[in-house]
Amino acid sequence: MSDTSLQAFRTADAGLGEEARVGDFLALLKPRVMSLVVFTGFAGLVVAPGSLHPLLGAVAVLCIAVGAGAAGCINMWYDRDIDAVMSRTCRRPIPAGRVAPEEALAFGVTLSLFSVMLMGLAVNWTAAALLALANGFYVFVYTAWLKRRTPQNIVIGGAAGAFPPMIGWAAVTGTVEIGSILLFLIIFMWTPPHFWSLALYREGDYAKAGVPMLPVVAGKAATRRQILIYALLLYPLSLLPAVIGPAGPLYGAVAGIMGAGFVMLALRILRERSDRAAKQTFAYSILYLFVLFAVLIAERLAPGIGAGIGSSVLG
Amino acid sequence: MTAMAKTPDDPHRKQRGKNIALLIALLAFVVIVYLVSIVKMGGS
Repeated sequence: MSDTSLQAFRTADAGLGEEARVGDFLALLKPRVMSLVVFTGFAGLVVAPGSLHPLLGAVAVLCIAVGAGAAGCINMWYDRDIDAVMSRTCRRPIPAGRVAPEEALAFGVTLSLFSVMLMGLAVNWTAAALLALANGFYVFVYTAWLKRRTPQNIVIGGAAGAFPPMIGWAAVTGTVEIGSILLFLIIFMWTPPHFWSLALYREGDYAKAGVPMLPVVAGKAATRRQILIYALLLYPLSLLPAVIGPAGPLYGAVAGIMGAGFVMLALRILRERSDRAAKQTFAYSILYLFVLFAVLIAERLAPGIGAGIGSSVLG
Repeated sequence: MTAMAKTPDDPHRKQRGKNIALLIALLAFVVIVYLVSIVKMGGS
């Protein structure tokens, strides 16, 4: 750990930093991660069979957003020592000394409890239980248990980020069904190649912080192979919603094209072995998930848009 | 006595910003609870 980062960590732990702004507390909620979580949660809500009052739907999405942000906040509290070491995270509010760790913990726990209780009271308790499970999984299983112990951290821990569409679905139906499990599995299988692409060009950061990410423990070559394996596993899985529901032919076509692109990029990583290829795969993985869930939403909100593709494929 | 110029980094200004954000959050919560109650009681 460098002197500078050690100083930042001590400053933050002692609560000696400057007064926090509102923006620092918003930053604790990891807004960029939250946007993808909200989007996939909203998709689950839209594609689920049945209907929900728009206001309750909005409250459900708000609870998913706040719950995910709260989990991210508690994660930042727990990981403040390694955040201080990594260049990507050293400017976060806690290692930078702008928010005291205990303040961040209180903020995260309060918001987490608030989001689960509001979800239960306003929407239903199945969705609330899933939200609590997702938060608990992210904080206790991923952050506190797996992250610093095993290179499989994001494989298993990725489940936490896969819950939002299932929560959105449960907000409408009050149940867990095969359709929502499929959406869960797509994000679950997408998470390892997504994070390992990032870890390939941030390997030094993770090594410095002592986080056993796959490139640090098994090497870059093994990580590139694993990215390809997961991209190949994700491909057929991503098509299943078009086969057994809840998606239609347009989704199937888009998932087929986007999935092929993902596999091609994974092959390129294996061939080129450059940071550039890894960065492009990381960026593409985000686009991939956004596009897949955007098409899911579009198909449900405008049922006619996939009809042409359906008839041309089937007839 | 001259008034102190308040810069964006002034701790009081930052605290005031946080107080206002908390007020907005609490008011939003009250509105949400009110609207959810109306919807639930309406049976829709």
